[in-house]
Amino acid sequence: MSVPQTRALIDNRKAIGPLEYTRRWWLRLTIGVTFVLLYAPILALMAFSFNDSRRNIVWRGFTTKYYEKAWNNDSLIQAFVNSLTIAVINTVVSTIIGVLVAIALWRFRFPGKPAYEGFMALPIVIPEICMGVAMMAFFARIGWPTDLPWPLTLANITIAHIAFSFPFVAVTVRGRLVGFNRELEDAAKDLGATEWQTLRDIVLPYLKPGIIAGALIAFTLSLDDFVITFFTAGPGSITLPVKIFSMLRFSVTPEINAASTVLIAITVVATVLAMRLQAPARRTSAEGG
Amino acid sequence: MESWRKNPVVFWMMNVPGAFWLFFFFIVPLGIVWAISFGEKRGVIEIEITWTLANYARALEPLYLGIFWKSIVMAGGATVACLVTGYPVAFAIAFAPERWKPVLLMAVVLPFWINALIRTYALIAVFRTQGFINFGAEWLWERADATLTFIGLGELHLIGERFEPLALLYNNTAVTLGIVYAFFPFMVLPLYANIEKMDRSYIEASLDLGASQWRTFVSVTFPLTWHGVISGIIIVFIPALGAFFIPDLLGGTDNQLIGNVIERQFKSANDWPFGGALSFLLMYLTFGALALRSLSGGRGRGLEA
Amino acid sequence: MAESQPIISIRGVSKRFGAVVAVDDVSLDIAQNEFFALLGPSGCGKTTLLRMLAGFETPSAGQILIDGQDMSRVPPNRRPVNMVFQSYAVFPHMTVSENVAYGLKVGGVPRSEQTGRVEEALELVKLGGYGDRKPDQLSGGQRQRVALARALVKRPKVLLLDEPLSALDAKLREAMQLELVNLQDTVGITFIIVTHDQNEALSMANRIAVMEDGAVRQIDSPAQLYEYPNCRFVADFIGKMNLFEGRVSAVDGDKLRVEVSGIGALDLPAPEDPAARRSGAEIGIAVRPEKIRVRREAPDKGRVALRGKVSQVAYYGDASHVFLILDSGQTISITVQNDARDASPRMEIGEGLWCYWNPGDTLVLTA
Repeated sequence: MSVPQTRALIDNRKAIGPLEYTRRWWLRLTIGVTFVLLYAPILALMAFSFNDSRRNIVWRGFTTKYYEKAWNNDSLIQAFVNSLTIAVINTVVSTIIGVLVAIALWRFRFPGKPAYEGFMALPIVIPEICMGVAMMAFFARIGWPTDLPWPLTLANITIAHIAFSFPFVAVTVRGRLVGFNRELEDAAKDLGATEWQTLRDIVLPYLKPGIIAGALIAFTLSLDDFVITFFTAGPGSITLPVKIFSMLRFSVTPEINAASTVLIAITVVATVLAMRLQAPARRTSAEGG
Repeated sequence: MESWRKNPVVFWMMNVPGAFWLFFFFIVPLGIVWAISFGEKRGVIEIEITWTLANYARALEPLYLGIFWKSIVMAGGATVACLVTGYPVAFAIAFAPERWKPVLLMAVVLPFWINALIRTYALIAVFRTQGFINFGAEWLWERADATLTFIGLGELHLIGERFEPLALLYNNTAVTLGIVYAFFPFMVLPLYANIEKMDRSYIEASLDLGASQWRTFVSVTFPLTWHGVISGIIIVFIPALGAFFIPDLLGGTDNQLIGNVIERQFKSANDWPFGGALSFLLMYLTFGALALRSLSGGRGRGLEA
Repeated sequence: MAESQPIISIRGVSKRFGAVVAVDDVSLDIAQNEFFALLGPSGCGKTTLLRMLAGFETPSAGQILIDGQDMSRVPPNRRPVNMVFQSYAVFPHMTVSENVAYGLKVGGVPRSEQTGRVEEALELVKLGGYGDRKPDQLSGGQRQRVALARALVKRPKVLLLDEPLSALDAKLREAMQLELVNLQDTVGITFIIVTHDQNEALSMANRIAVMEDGAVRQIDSPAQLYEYPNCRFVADFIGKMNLFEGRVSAVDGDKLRVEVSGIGALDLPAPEDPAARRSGAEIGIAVRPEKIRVRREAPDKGRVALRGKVSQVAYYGDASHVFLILDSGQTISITVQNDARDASPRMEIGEGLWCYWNPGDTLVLTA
């Protein structure tokens, strides 16, 4: 190719606009490197759960035997079941409480409201370890019985989880409420609806995406929680993250990788599901009247 | 917004569950720890609250002050690292074509959903002596050694006699990197939200007036996204202060942070009053950081994180 | 025909928000089948007054009667009035039919009856066949019609409309103005609209209440308001005017001689207001720009005539606004209709012209 031809080719390539930052190579490189660094450890962990080797990072062959080992590890399975149970109960209760709080704060004026909102935000802001030790001290102090049958053994963990989850739900729902056109509420009342009918027919349908998002957050927060559970769990109420931690203390085996991969898979599926569930609702109300 | 008096029944019905839970299962437990921090041990389980300040005095001894300081420094360093690496990513996503934005955001947020403990564990596999980095470094060393031998300089052992693995674990760097890795998405999201909302016309005006891209960034873009920066800093710094399983897994005995000390008091050392004092000092530090944020212009909003 | 009682009776109603008085002792009656407008600048209290009629605010003082019934204890969902909101407030998650049926549904109307009435209402607003659409598939104007149908299907005694045309573009606005008037005529109920746009109020309403700072300044038909404003505020708010200050120097039966600063003595017919008929009274003299004519030659006797130099001409296609500087330094603005294509030669800046009007067209303002 002659020089003029080459030059023409280069000039004709679409010029990068001054604000099209993402098309600049150094920014793309930065993002690329960041994502690689972010995902590599996780992907490696997942990949090596299938590695037929006890401790090495050299690939020795594909196997699912560590998954079988994990499956046959009764205490691991029990921990997993505990985690799920707590997460489900937590999601239901936290979502209900969180939605009520969000609507109440959006709707009512009352003395001391700023202070109340501040307190509501505390569980989100406070370092987890402070809350963890507080729950531990609380249950010890009030003499929480330690010999309850399953599933009541999970009750104290569940209570703690609800305490830190519902403010997150409230924040999420509150975020959704900000975009709510109050005239919709007035219109419903003008047409004859009572308080309850307005809430049921107009407000809650609008809130649905926010409620789903909040429930999802509550579920994942609970499933993945380590710190607070670590301080409130007893011998009969171990959850999966706590179990993994104690396994880590002993030795690093691919069995941990297997258990971790399962947990990751559930989390990812739950997140993607929720994104899907939210998306159609978001479309209609974003373009809506 | 209506006054609660207009509809007291509805008001109470909506508020009671949340208020009840918050009070009994959050405020009261915190209160108990607060009271305990003024107590003394009287036996294995017994604690008597004598309103002594001995625990706080002990917490302010040089040994523990040093640990507090180290925690602040390390959390601060990790926060700065998150900011420096996170800002370009948030910036790039904010200026990406519309249809890429949700994908990119998902990609950044997904690790956040994955259990922090597992992610930290994944780092161990990367950092340890028989981990990936050393694996790769060893591979490079062997190639370099082979090349040197090939060109006849093998006898000189220019890069050492054998491969010395890098001791990447069990030191401050590992802990800091672990914190950065755990909290990176927390920094990107508020930054992204803030940059995304910024009116592009400001950048265009600055360029139009003759400023270079870099100057525009320094004088216009960055100051305008300051609130996002503050939010991100707060969201990373506070949990980083209280981190305990990250230093536990990635750090050695020299790298104890305040979180580790607190955990020990409540678990193995069984010194709850002292642990309570430390715990509350950590909380006051947290509130201090939040107060700084309010002062710097980002209005402290209750439930609008 | 005997006068039936007013459908709405507002008696001494005030509304305070803390230290701010939004509505200040307003009393007015609205008759059945009227198309009534509350007109005023933003902050004048008109929307607050409307919301009190609908029941979304409670008066701090005074009484509101709808069809003879006191509404003080009646919440909005039990009043015989319905409202079309400024943002239309069409429920985004329901279809058009579901929206229109909503009021009937919560009112306990049986399903079988609902369908018929919904269809009827949609036909009324020219949205027949749109029942299954969702609001995000409709234009702004169509959503407004849904809001109208939704309110009218309940057969209220009064329909309230909050700034109904402000969100529409200019062409659509004019078309909707006519449609709303026709609709009111067809349906035969009282319409009350709130607007800050005087054109809307003038073109649609039977009677207008002009409000300022929470109080009603004048209630009259559009023509009366325009030609006989009772105070400077109303004269200025509705239409444009040229205002001069003057003093009554002599009263002679039904004529006044007024000394207008910078202009001289003007002989005007005396207005009804006794305050203006005193010698020495300080009054405002105003004339609307379209009432004034311009000429190069001096006008005939019997007109109020002034001479000035052209300072600016703004061309608007159908008319031109001409600004003359009088010898006294005051500016007077005149609207000259462009009533023939090749009209009289263009006016030059600096040219001297006479402007004149009929004395009877002068507004005499005492307040």
